[in-house]
Amino acid sequence: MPFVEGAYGATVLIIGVLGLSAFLRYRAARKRLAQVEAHYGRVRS
Amino acid sequence: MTQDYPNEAPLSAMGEPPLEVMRSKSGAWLHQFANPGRFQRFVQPIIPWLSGVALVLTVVGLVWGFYFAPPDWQQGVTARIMDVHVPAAWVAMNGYAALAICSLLSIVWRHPLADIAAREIGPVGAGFTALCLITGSLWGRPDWGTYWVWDARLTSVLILLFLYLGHIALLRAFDNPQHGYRAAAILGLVGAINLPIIVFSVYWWNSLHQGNSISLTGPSKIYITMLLPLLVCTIAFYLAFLAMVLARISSFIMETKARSLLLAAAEGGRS
Repeated sequence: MPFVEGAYGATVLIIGVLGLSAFLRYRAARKRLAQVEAHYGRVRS
Repeated sequence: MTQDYPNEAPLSAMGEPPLEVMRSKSGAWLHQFANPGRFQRFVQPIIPWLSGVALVLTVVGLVWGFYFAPPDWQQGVTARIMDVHVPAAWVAMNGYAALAICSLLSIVWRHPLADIAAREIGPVGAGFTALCLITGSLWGRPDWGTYWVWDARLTSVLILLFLYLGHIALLRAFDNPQHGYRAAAILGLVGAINLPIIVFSVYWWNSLHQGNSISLTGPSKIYITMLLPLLVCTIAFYLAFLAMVLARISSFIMETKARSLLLAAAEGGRS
């Protein structure tokens, strides 16, 4: 059973880290872009 | 403010595709998807829903596999590792196949979004490959009596992890990003030769690793009560992979756009 727990724990850890890092980066990028656009004006071609 | 950022054009940071490619029929068809503005409009409403469904299915699949999947008559409860090991292996291999396709699009058509996609697939694919190796080792110890053997299947999956890591490193190894993208695309394409080796390794060489238990064309060798949590985890892992990659691509585009706006503002201030 410790092997099963280890495997599922590793799964939660790796997918959690990958998912959380993607989510935080996405949120930070949205926030950053919104700030820059608000400051310098929205640009459209 | 002048219109400095090419909001509707291929990413300026990635370089413009050659004109002959843009003029060709296939190039024009492909490059309508290379438009970051169009990509963002299509993808951004999808990402929250995709992430939500992936999260729910992952939780359901893991709880089902860990608590409710029936034990195997020979392996006992360690067979439950299958529900995370097998989907991780499939996602790792198909993720690399996607990376190889992006590399091909990058080399042949110089598709700007393909370079970004390959760049963002790399770390996620490496994570799933590491997960496949870790869960495989934890499954091997009680069933084979060892965490690791230099078996054809295990070794070829380890090579897959090194290919992912090499791709990540090569992308960042050049001062000129274009050189990095080109070198990484060549590695991505050449590394695809490893995929059939992984799949057929258990048939070509004597291997401790078992052959395929599930086939798209034939009947499954796994009983339905064990198959269902495996299928839920498989769908969940694929959706999670897709959600992460799309979120990372979208993040990269937004980061590039913010940087371009700041650069344009700085240049405007200087002139």
